[in-house]
Amino acid sequence: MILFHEAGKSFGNTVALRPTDLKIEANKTTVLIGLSGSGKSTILRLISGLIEPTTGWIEINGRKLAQDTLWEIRRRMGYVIQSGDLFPHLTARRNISLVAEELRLGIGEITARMEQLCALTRFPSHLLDRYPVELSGGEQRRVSLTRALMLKPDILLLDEPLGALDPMVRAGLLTDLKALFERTNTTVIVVTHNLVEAARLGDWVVLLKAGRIVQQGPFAELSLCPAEPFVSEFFRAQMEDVLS
Amino acid sequence: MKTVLMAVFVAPLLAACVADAGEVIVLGSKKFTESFVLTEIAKRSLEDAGFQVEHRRGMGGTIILWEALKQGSIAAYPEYTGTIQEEILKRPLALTVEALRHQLGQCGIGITEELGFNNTYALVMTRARASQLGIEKISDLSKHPDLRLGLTHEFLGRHDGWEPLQSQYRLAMSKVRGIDHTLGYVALLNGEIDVKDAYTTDAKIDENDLVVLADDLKFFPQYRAVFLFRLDTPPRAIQALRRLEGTLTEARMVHLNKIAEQTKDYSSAADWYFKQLGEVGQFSGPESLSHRLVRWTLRHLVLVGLSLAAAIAVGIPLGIYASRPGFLSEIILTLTGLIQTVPALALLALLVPVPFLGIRPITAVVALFLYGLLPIVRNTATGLRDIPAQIRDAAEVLGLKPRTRLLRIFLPLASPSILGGVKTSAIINIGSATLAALIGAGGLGEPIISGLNLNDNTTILEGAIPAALLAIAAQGLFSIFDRFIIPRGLRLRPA
Repeated sequence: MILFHEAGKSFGNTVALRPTDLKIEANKTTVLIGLSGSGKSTILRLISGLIEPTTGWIEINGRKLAQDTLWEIRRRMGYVIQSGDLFPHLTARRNISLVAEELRLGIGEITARMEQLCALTRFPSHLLDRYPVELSGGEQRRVSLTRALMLKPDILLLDEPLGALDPMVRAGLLTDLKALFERTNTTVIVVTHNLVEAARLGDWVVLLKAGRIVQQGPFAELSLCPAEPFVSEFFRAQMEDVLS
Repeated sequence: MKTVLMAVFVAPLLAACVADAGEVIVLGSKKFTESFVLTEIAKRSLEDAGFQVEHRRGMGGTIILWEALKQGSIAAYPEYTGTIQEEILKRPLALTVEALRHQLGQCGIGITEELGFNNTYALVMTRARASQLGIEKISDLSKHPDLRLGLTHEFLGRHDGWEPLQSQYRLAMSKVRGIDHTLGYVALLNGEIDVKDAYTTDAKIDENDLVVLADDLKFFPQYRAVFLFRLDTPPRAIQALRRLEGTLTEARMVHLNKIAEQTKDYSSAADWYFKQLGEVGQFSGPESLSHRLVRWTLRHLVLVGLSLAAAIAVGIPLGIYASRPGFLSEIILTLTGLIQTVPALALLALLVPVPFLGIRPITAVVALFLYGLLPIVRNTATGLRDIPAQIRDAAEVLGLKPRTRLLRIFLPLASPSILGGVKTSAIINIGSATLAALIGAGGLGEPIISGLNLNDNTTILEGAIPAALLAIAAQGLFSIFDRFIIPRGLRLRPA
């Protein structure tokens, strides 16, 4: 379980996230949704420790996130950043195994785990020795996902995992992600601006606007009982976009 | 008179002997140690080449040897450029070996390149007397007109001897007398005379720790040893003579003279000579163009290689540091940039007075090192700064340690940029290293600078063309390095 205690983030005079209380349930998929600059990515970056809160604090599985606990917590965390997060000078295989190698896991263990994960993320293992540039966008996302899952994380963070993919690939990967989250029994946090993804993936949806949580709950609740006009506006705009 | 007699009677006789002996080569020498030793060495070299050789020792002075050579009674003998000019060709102006060769060729006589040493006249004093009076150079003698001089008769009478020396240096010495060369040394050591004339390669100078007065007005002509030979001598014999070119330094000749005088055995001096050459492992005859080019190029590569290695060793860490935002980073980049704005020549000149540097090759290496720093520092810093944020974040959230991140992720990703900096630095340094010759550090700048001084384009090109080729070669070499150093994934184009 992840808890935000009045945690907020400002960059100089710009407020990225106002002091916020937020509870993210374990072993459920939480979707953070909103427009660009709404603070959804800031939440993800705060959880991963890439940035520190300027107010309040964050608790992860009962421990306060701080400099001394960061490395240990991070090792239990998988993070799929927006596209272009693969190391271009390493093959897919080395991208996936790099951290496991640094932790001195056995070759046999690494290989077995990789095969298992490739099946899970539906990444064709004969492409493992290709470099990122030789892979399609969808394949690259699958490698990124495999890399994030390598150390059997308790928490999986995904920042726009389906961004910048063409619709066909997007639909296929969405289905696969849904199945994957159900099977791995992990705390998953997905950042997206896409309602369809939120609806398909999210057990719990958090809608943000300008650094503030507007409404949170199951998707149906947001859809049926919008807490304020912005929620219905957001839904309508997205639906029009899908239908047009 | 003696000369004429010699020329008329002895020479044809000798010539007949040569003709009868067929393959026997006859060499001559003048009547003093050094000439004996040189001819003995030439004899050994010819014998090694398979000739039978006869050494006619101490035949006489310059004119006798010259006549014997012209008439064919001897095939070769050692001579000095100053003597050829003054006594044989009677030219007042200093001629180059090339010019001498042209003149002599009209008489059917050839000349080797310089053997390496300059045996000119000099004035010598005992060290004690010289330091007592504070005399270091010939012009100092003008302050001591009452010193006793004991000069050889030859020196007293020569065109380039005492009289013109006295007038050029404006000396008014009252006590000058003629004395035999060998006895003169005895008189000098006994304190009967204060100053005497000598040859710069005299063994006595070394033996008795005499002071050679500096010829500060450059009065004495150059007496560089060469061999004169008949152009009809078998080519292989000429080749054997030419093997001696450039092999005799002053110090080596002084030592050879000493051995010969001590042992009274000229062949033992020759033994020492060949043993020395054997140890050095080279028979560096006249340095051919290709040899010179190799020597200059190798030196050039050492200068560039050392400075580049230092610039890489210092530049990459500095660049890594400077890639992080901060005040110090800006200072590093500004400073290295500032160095580059100083012209290479000025940088070299600025470094010469620095302690521990001075007019030495190390100064050139330091200057080139400083000069090569900027491209490496800047490219390392930019290469690292340009790594996309997603990659940085990914490396961090994956839990890679800072050291692993730098070595396994960031540096390989920045490698194309870093290598580009190293390449620029290498090419700049190949060009700038030609200036190293100005402080005697050698390299391809040597012919460029002497060519500029002599206004000789051919010589300039001997340095300029190889330097340009070296730069092109470096460019090619780095393209090969790219393949090994830049990770494959960065060289691939999207499918």
